[in-house]
Amino acid sequence: MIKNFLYSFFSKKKRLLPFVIFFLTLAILIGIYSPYAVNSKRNTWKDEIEKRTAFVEGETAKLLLQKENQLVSQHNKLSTELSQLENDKSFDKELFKIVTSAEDKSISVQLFTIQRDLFSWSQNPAIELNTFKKQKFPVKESFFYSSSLNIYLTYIDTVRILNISYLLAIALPVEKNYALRKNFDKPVSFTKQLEEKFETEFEISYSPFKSKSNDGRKQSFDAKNIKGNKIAVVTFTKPLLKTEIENIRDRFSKYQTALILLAVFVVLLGIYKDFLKIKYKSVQGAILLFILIGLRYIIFNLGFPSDFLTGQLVNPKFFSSAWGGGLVKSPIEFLISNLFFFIFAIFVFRSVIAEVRKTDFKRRPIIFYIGYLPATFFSFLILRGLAASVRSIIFDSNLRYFKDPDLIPGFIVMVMHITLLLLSLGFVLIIVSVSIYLISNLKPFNSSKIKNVFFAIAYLVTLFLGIVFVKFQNEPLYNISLISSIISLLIVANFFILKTKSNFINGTVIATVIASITAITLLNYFNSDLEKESLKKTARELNRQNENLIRFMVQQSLTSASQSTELKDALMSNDANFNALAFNLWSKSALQGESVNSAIVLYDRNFKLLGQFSTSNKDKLAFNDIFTPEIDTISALNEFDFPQDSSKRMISGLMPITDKNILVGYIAAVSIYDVHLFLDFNIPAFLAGGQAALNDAINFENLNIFTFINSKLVNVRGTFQPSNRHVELILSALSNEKTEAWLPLNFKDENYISFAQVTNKNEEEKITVVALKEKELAWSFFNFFKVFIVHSIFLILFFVVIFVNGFRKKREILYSFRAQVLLSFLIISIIPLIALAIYNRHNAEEKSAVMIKNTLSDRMITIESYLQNKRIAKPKSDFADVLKEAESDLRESFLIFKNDRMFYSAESNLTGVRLVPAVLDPNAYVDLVKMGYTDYTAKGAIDNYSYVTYYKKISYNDVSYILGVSDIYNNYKGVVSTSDFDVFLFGVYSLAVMIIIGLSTLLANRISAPIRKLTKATRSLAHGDLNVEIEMNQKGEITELVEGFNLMTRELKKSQEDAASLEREIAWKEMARQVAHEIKNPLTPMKLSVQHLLMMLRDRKLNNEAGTERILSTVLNQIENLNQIASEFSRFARMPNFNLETIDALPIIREIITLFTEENIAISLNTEMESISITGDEFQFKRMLINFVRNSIQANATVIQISVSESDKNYTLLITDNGTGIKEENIDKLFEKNFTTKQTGSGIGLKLSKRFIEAIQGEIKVKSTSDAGTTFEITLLKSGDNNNAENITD
Amino acid sequence: MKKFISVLLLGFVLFLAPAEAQHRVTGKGQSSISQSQDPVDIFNRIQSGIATSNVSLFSTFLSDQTYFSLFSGLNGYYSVNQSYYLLQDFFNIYHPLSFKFKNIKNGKSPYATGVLSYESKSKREVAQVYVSLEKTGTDWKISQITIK
Repeated sequence: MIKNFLYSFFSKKKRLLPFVIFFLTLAILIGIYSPYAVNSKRNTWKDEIEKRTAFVEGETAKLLLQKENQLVSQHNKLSTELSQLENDKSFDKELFKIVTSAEDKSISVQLFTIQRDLFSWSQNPAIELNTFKKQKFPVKESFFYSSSLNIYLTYIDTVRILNISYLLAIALPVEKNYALRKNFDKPVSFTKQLEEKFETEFEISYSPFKSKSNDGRKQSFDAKNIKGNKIAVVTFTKPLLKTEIENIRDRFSKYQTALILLAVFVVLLGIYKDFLKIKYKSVQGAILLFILIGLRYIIFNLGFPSDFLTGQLVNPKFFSSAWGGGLVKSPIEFLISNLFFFIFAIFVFRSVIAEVRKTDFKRRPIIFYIGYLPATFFSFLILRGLAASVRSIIFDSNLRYFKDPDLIPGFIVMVMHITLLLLSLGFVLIIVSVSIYLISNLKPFNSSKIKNVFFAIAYLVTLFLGIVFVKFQNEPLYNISLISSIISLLIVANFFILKTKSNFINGTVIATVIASITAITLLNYFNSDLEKESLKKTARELNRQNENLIRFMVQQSLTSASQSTELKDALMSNDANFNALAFNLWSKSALQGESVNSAIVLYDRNFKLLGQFSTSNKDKLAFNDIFTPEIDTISALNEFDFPQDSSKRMISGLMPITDKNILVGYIAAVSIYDVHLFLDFNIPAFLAGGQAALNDAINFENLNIFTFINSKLVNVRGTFQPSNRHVELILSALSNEKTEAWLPLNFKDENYISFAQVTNKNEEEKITVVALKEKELAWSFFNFFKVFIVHSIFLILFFVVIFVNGFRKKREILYSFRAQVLLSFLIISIIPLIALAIYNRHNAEEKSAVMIKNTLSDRMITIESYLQNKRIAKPKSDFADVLKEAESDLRESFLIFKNDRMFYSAESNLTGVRLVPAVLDPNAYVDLVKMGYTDYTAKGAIDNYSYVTYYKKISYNDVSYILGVSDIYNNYKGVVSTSDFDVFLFGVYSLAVMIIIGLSTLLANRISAPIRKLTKATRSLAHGDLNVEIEMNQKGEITELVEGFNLMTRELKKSQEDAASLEREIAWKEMARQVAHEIKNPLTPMKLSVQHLLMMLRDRKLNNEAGTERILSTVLNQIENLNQIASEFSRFARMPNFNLETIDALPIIREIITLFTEENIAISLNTEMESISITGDEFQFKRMLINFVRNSIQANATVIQISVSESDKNYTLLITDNGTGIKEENIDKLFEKNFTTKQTGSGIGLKLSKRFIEAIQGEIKVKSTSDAGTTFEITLLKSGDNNNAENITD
Repeated sequence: MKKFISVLLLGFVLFLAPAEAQHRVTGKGQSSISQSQDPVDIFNRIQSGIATSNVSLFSTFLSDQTYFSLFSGLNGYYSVNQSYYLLQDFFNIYHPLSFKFKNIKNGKSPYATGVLSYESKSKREVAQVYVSLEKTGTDWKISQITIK
């Protein structure tokens, strides 16, 4: 309705024009107003600044209040639950259950005794125990607490449990002092929250003792808690007038852009109807192309939508190409460009389908023979364009479509999939349009055998040409099998569209499926290329680091860290966790970006070590031995060799830290690296910034890496252990001064694809070989289905749109027998499949957990045995010393707890900075200490990095300890990781579901086919079609039913004919009797008159003129009576009265078309009208249409096209078929009664049709006929223009 | 309908032909100045390009996979096409005020370090820049750009 309204509204140009003028004028006015707005801003700026400051203060206070309320409500909730605890066996378990129950796991909950001893705690507790013992904290009001790594908004209040008072502390992290590697970092920042909200820079001093800033460019205010006490100082940069003016100009420019686009849109709406009226599709196409290209460039140059958006859609990281001068420079621009291309492609396809389906489409075989080669070449070029685009999607993007383990891809991946599908569909539609147009120009083949041979040859020739096309290219984007597959797919699309005589919608669906398969195949193909290339990238990455880069990193880290106010404050106060501070500084430095072992060390002004952080626990021990900074090392980078290990070197730098020109301490940045490898693979993943690049396309764990220095193998990483033969192969591949080579290697009957690269460093020749199992590269069904399922979501959406918009009988379809059978099959088969998938996933998860636990348990046994042996060997040794020896000898990382506290850490680089808490995991504590279990497996997390720790009770010299071993340094995986298993399940079960859907549809179709046929036939019968018969090749009850129906129809037809015959006979008899009776009446007076006249003649009285005239006039009157009787009988013998009323013929035509959907004929309706209102008899109209269709079928027609057009007073209905036509000598006899060319015809159908049409003042004639088909033209008066028809009873 | 093929060909020329070049585009609006293969000259071009926010001045030297490590959070390898627009976007947000390489080292692994002064949201800041080159065939290409 809205659409109609808009069309009718805008189709009149006079009404359209004011809108265009309005939008353009508004755009100009905005341009004129802009300088005034800028001036006004300048004049009122001072007042505005004050208002804004007040606003920022108010809003900040509100945000803070929200956080406070969250804390207090959490406190109240926990207090209530804790106060209800009962003193029974499960007390401890229940206590910890409540304390660890917060939904937001970042919230810290700690329960202290009044003596300030820890009583219960959640994971990652915030308040450090020593600090809590020493310092006083506010109670019953919130305050900011700064721990080593985070700043928390904290609330402490008393709670009574079993009549004893405790202190319950709830802490919500608001600021994080460190940053981890991007994948694992969980950002927490109140400052950033404020910056994003107010679009200016903020600085928050989380201390009530800080004073406001004196900087005139900044504004400071006190942040207060609910009680009105100051808890922090918030400082923000005042907005600058210059920036504000730039914003105003930018905003106005965007308004202008939007208005111009609106004007363009309105113009397009206005010309839409005119565009549709263009007679020639080719001209339409050219104009559409011109408009699309023009419009695309206009909106691109206006900066739409890139200038209006931020985030992933406009980030070149996710896709960027320089094609078209920036038309595809970001994902959103790529999507829009493809949308424009798709509109053009869909227009071409729709036009071609409409053209070749026309019944008057003239086949010109010459077009096929001349056009085949150029069109094939054109199609190959298009395919190359498609491949180039898909390659760009893979190589010009950091999205990894197959590596991402998530089942539901992220937003940007979805956008790229839509774009890919549109792109591929556009290309496929163009190619299919060209080929369908060419093939449709061929004359029908005499036999299907010739036809099959012809198309087989055409297919093989096309395939051959495709291979030749690929072979003769310098940079082929396809290999032979790929081009063959894609050509075959396209030919399949053509075949289906032509074979099923698809209309536009069906054709598009077929093309979409083929486009999807083509796109995913290409995506997979180029992804394999990318994976192969990633071996090269890995080799480059392994050699990217060098001394120059490390020197730069050390220098940059010192420069940036030396400016840290946090560091200066800590050094001045000399009261901080300096290990944690060193970690915080390291995490924000350039050192964090590379996977090279590095450290930050802090000293006081007297060179006394305050704290340090090192990425490796093991090398830290080594560098402490060698690194003794001296004053003369300041401002110069120093390089050291490791006496114990000649392969290692260290670069370090030292910088004094001053505050207001007073020396407060020193900072050192250190990097220890392997002179051959540089990269350190032992750094935990969440700290190794550089490893992201290594994991780019394939998982780094799957790679095998060999390093040669001066042709000598010095390092092997991975499961592939190269033999001498392998070494020879590698070295010979790089002979003749080659700097890189690809080579196949074989290890344990597995083929590996390998890339070898030569680099020269430190006067040494280094060869890096990266090898990957070939099957890891293989084209995989999982990959295919992972993307195909995403495409099918779009396909389903597409179907839903068609269903909702175009399918008027959707309810009937839902309740149809076929739909119900299909639904039953799907429910029966898919539900067990889903249950099986869930069970398998659960099973795999459990097995993985057991495997991880076993691996950790093995490590634990080693440590336990070592400790046991030490205890036996040196029974009087101090346990702490024994543990230190164990750490050094075993080079294992482990933790020892005594009761709830950490007793010893062999992960001191992590525990020292509190990345790993110094208290035992709360659940492990309950199970092992309170409940008496022997072991416990706990899951822990540092930001988004998860790890597993296996705890076990041990005893040393009769003292109980808890030993903890974790996979924090190197995450273990089960047989298959959960995400890998999901991908596996996803692939296998998707395939199964697809097969089930396919089979179910097939079976449902087969089972329901006879019922559907019966339904249609019954409907035809009800509409008076007695010629309907159902063909059935099956056996069983259904066939009996069908045969019964056919018999019934035949009997009904025979009975009707007999009844009609009998009726006619009775009628004739009755009529004869009536005629005889009626004739007798005038005959008697006539006889008497004639006798009287005869008597007058005998008596010679004929000269009595008056008497003679009277007698003769009597005779004449009776003759007239006879004539009238004859006329009345004639009228009586004609057709019965029609039931005339106003009807809409359009739905009737559609209904009749549906009656023949099961028969071998394609009937299409071609009209732009939404109703055809005539005065007529619905039953007779249906009967007439059925007659025409039956006649066409009997004339061997396979296509019928019904088109309706209108003039001022009439509708013209053209019924065209492609049957055998009507002989010229028969045309005039067509509408005569009893004329038929059929053996079983009655010859009455067309006669009745003509009678009906003429009865409603219409006209019917044969417009044209030939051996290619026949067209009947029926003219119908529009309703209201044939008022007289209602009176016609004929 | 007779003109369908001609319209399709027109469509091909206007819409699709440039896609052919898509996989080997080496940067938009590249300077027509002939490429020097002296690393010092290349660093000078990079210096001018960064100082004037004109990525085109050195986009010809971006390699197929250039490693980026920028303080904006961008890390990793990027193609030529991506690198061009990523740098352009970066300089649009962080407008360079001045840039000069303080240290240029030639040799087998040429690299240069310098200081970039930039403005963002009306705030002036300073960052350290590290750029290294590597030999690809006979040409020097940028292997890494670090701005911290």
